Amino acid sequence: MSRRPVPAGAMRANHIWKRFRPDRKAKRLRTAMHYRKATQQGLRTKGRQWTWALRDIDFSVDPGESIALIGANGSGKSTMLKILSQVMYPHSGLMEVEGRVGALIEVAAGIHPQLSGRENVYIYGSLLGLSRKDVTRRFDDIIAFAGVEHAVDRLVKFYSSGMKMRIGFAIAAFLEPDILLVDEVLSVGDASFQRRCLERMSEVLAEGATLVYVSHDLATVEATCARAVWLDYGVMRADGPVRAVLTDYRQAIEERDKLELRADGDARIGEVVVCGPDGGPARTDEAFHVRLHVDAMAPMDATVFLGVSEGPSTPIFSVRHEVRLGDRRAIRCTIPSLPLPGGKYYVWAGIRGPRKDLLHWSPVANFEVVGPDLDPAPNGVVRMAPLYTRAAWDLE
Amino acid sequence: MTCRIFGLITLDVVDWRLSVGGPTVCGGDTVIEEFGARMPEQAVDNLGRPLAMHRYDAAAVPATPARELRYHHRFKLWRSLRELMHSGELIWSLTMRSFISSYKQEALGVGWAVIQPLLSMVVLLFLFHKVGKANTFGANAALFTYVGVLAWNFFSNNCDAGVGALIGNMTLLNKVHCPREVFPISSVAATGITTIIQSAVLVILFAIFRVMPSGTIVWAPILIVMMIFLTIGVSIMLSVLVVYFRDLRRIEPMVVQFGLFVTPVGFALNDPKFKIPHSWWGAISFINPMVPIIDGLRRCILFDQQPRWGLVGIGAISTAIYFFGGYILFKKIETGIADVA
Repeated sequence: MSRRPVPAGAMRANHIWKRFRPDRKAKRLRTAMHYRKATQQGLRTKGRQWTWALRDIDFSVDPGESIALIGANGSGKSTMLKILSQVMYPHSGLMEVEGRVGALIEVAAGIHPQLSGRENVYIYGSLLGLSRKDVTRRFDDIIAFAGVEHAVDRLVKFYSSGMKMRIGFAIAAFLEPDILLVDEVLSVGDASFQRRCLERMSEVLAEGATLVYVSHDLATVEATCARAVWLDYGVMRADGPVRAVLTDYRQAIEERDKLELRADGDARIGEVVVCGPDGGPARTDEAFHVRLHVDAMAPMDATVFLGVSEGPSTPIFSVRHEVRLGDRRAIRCTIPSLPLPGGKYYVWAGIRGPRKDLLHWSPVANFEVVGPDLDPAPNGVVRMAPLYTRAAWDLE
Repeated sequence: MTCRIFGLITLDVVDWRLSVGGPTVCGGDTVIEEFGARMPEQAVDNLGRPLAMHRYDAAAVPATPARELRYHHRFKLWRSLRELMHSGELIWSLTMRSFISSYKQEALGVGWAVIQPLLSMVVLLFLFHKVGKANTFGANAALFTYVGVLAWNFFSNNCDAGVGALIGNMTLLNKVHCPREVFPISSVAATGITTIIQSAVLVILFAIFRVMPSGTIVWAPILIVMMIFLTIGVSIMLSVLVVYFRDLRRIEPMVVQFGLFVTPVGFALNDPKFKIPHSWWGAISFINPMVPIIDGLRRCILFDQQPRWGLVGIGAISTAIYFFGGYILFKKIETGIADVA
């Protein structure tokens, strides 16, 4: 472990390890006695079970960098963030953090319901390390950012939950920290507040602060961060440019989520074949074919839905067609010009029966599109869906 | 003429030439370069430095960390005390928060701060002086009891508040880094404000009974400082212990209630009726420094006597042990708070 002095805004995680004991019941006397008995009888082989939440996390961040922590639930992102913010201490390794750390986190806890918005701004500000003078200087900005100008002197318990959240977030947003930690907070506010938060994050970055962003919203991750670290069940899988890491991450999710063709109900979807022009791979802006076999128990009128999604989440677009289903029907759908950039996608299929009940609506196959990358969006702007469109440009 | 750039974007140069109507291939080249310059995108970080992709093999990570990596939280007493000194503003904010919020929205508001010790005084007067016939050595029984109640309330209310100081702010503590001892310390300060208000009642009681406090009251500040340090020590110790051992939440009120009767709150230490042997006084003072403090306060406020310095000295040693012991214990085991809660 080298021990060079660290400039403000820098962070270095040196081989961080952290473990937890899930069975907190062992702390209780009754359980302790039970364990003792079990030990005496030779039933218990091992002591308390420790599980590693983080194993050998090692990376360093320079001042002014923007880095995202991504990973599935339970992969150790929040634990890492707690160690970063020095609330939790590692089991092994060393966390070096230099400079003032500001955290944009779910903060309802720090807001006292019995006090007015004004009082809360001051108290919460000092909790985050702002002096009274600093808060006074930024008070109007904070209140405007939170959008609670009309309710400053109202007790916070009469605020809506969105207002409460926004006021906590606004104080943290005006911390002027050296390091800004953002943990999955954007999901709480409404669209305009989310946009303000993203703008504020970009501003803080432009002022030279370091940004650490934890989110499941991969689109905002890509928009705000240049670099990403992917945690997978407590170990680092990748560290590098955000797009490359996200590609690896998405691929891993796809491999993990086995696509299943469900075989229940009155109709079921059998084999699904996806191809591009002339039976080759799918290509951007060229013809795209989906062929699926549908088995129905009895002949019926139904609507077949097809959709395409990027991750295994909501589809980007969908098409539908009304057909008469029978025994082993093959349905072929052609999209003359596929509006997708190069990448990996899922095909979704669904059938709505005569009683208007949806029989299946889930990813049934995955495919790869050969084609150009989507041009990157300007930073701070969230790309909504990967839709490719032709563009002609001229210079005059 | 259609021109493909890197096989990715198709530019209709014919259209372009029509729309611009300018020079032919040369103009087209310019456009192509515009695109060409941007296309081979090298990933860079915010500072414009190239960013390399590192992939790691999860299977290559050992199952347990190497022994020499083990992290030991080094506790430096003076450094943490200095950090505490710098959080004065935070302590003040939290103090005001708990003080304001505890009396807000109650019809009587701060009035409760006054009523509560007066009621305990009446109960103790009845118990010890009406029923128990305790000896006040010539002092006014109400004043005699109120001085005891004032000091004891400060201590016992802080024990109660200390228990909740950390566990009541757990969600916050798990998110924001700050010296955690500010929570119990600010709850002591909030109780302190209440005690100051209650002391005003003592002044009024003096006026009502037409008694002047004795001149030896100049010794009282020493005892009060001692009481504050003792209370902080006990309070921070309780606040961190209860995180690991929740049962303490139930035990603490019982111990404090019991303490009311083994501390000379309603009676005098040297009351012949209760027959506390002289030889025990030192030991009692060591275990419970509130004994010499209350006894001393009463002597110097009501009886024009100096505190019993011997007992106060024993109490001071024990107070130092409570304070530094409590503080060191707090700093030692606070590292695990986020893991448990």
